[in-house]
Formats: sequence, structure tokens, C-alpha cells
Amino acid sequence: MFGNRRQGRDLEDRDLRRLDRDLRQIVIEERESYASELRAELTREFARLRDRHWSRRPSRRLIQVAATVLLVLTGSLAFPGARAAILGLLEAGSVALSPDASTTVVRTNPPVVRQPPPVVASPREPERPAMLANLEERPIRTPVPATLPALLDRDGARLTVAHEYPALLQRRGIGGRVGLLMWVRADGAVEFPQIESTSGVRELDLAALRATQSLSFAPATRLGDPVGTWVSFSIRFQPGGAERAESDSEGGGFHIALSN
Amino acid sequence: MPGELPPDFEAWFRDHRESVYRYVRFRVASRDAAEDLTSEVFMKALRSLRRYDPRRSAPRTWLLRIARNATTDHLRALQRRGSLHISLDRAPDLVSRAPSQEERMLREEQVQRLLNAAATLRAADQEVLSLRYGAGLGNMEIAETLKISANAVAVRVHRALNRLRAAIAESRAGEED
Repeated sequence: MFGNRRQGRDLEDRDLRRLDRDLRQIVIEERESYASELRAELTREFARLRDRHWSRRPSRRLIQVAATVLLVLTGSLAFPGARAAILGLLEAGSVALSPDASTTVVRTNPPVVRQPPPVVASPREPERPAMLANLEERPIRTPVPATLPALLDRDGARLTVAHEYPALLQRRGIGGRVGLLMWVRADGAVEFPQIESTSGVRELDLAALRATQSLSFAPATRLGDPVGTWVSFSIRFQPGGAERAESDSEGGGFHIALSN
Repeated sequence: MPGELPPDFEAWFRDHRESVYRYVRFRVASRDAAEDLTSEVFMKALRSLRRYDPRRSAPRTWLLRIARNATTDHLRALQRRGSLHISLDRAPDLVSRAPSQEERMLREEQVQRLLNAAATLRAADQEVLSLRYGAGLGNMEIAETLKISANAVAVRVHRALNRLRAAIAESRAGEED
């Protein structure tokens, strides 16, 4: 009995080790341009944060209004000098804010206000965090011109597909449509071809996958530079010939599912 | 020329983006969702950079904590909309580096089966498996992220693997019926 239990535990441990190994072997393909796109997005956000931070400095006009309201609220109007000071404030640009000062300096002409200056809760210079130091403004990028990949040798592709169509299936009249997804590298080569929708016939799926290895593309471009991109298309195997790569985009081209 | 980011943040982005992405991708059903969530994580981190306290956690742990919250919110929102169970059958970015097409197809079926089964586990199990196999953390780092002991992590991983094994067996039995 103990032997059976131990055997069971050994089997369990072996299963778990295998599971652990399988999970470790999973490869996650990150889209090639994702990191640079995200970085650009973060850079823009950082610039926006910095701009918003500095735009919080109140305008001179706002300070003028705030000073006026405070003077009124503190009853300074009872004093002729204060009235004159307010008038001075409302005239063009009589308030100056020292970048480091914590109080408002009011420049007025006589009569001089002899009352203690009103305490104005003037906005402070925002504390400049270290992370914002020495940054310059950067414009927000606009969409850039880009082109999608194009199949270079369409006739050659048809021949390849015909060549891969298993003869036995052709003779038996078995056909089908295989949806494929693959990465077209910046040099036009195909990588990571995968079945997106099965034909229902495993041999046809495999034939379609093999055919992708012989396809060649003009790569997608971004700002004139070639870049990698995902391409999705389907291959239809029709018994009696006419195997073809097909698309649901106009002009019989390949359908581009994802692009940079 | 790339734009500027705070120097520390630049290093975190370079060193930990992949871990965050892999963690998130293990937990959500599509690459698009994983990209959106990873972006959200780094945006949140950038906006709250000044709140980061290096005495309390390592940068990767901090980022993964933001990622955990963002992913939990995302999954809850899906649950509310009744669309949590998205099939992983079309996951072209979860692949295997098997040498031949045939082997790769077989491996990919296996990966899909694994992840479909993992998606049926309870959230805590998914969490610990995603940290281990997605983000690639060791037990100590998982312990720091989850704020539990390393021993507790080992126990959780073992139990989660056991439950995953049972879920896979169940799905196989379902396919055979």
C-alpha cells in the first residue's frame, strides 16, 4: 500500500516538473515596434506633465485680480490710500511677482498706503522636481507616412502553393481555406507563420505553413525606412487547380491585418 | 534621436518592460489588451514617479504591483461586461521555438491548452503563476511583490501547479467525450 502511495507521489512530482518545464518554455513574442511606440508615448506624456507643471504658474492678471479682491475683503477701501492702490493695481501691469518672493510687491504712485500691507496669499514658485531638470520642449509627433508590405512574386507564390498541395488530397477532391498570420521582417523575409483559422484538414494547414517560407515581400515602411509588421492572409486549396492566395482587400492583394 | 525620460525611469523601462509585459500577457487573453495594460502601467508609474520609495520596494516590484492592480481592474471590468472568458485559441504571439513547423504547431497547441486551463484557475493561482512564468520572478521576488514569505510562495506555486494539472486533465477528458 505504501509502495502504491509513493509511486503515485513520484508520478505527481514528475507531472509537476513537466508542467513547470512546459510553462517555462512558453515564448511571448512582443510586437517588434511596441517598445519604441510605448517609449515615444511616454516621452510625450512626460513633456505634457512638465508643461502642465509649469503652466500652473498663475498669470500676472490673475494676481492683480486676487490682490484687488483681498484688499476689498479686508476693508481697505475705508482708507483713501488703499483706494488709490487698487486703482493703481487695475492700471496696466502694476503688480510684479518676484520669482522667489512669497508676497506680492505692489508698485504704486503716491499717495502711499500707510496701512500694513495686506497679506496676499500669493502663489509660490512651484518646486521644480529633479526629474524635470534640464528638459526642453518637444513637439507632439503627428502621424507619419507609412506603407504596407506587398507580395513581390505573385505568380511564384501561386506555383509554390500548388507545389505544396498534397497530391493525395487533390486526387480525393479535398480542399479548404487556411487563414495565416506571419511577421514580415524589415528585410522582407517571413517569420513566425501561424495558423489563424484552420481549413479543418491538418495536412492542408501544414502545406500552407510550408508555402509561407517561400513567399517574399517588399517590407512595410515608416518614414521611408523598412520596418517589420504582421501580415494576415489566406490560402485556398481548390481541387482541380486554381490554388491561390486570396484576400478580402480590393485588387486581390493580401489582406494586411496589423501594421505599425 | 529618442526623446527624454527621467534617467531612472529610462532604466526601469529598459530593464523591466519585458517582465511587466510578460506578466500581463500571461493574464489577459490578447496581445492588444497586454499592450494597452503595459502602456497604462508605465504611464501610471511615470505620473507617480515621485511617490516611489526605494526603501519600500525594488523598482521591478513596484512596477509589477501597479501591473497587478491594472490587470485586476481590467479583468473585473471584463467580468462586469460578461466577457471574461475570451478564447486563447488565437494567440499568435504565444509561440514556441521548436525547430520544425510540425513541432511548432504541436507545441503551440500545448501552449494554448496550458493557458486555456490556466484561465480557469482562481485569480490567486493565476497571479502566482503569471509572476513566476510570465514575469520570470524567483520565489523571493514574488514574496516581495505579494508581501508574503518565500515559503508561502513555494506552497502557493505547488498548489497552483497541481490545480493546473487537474484543469488540463479535465479539459482533455472533455475533449475525449
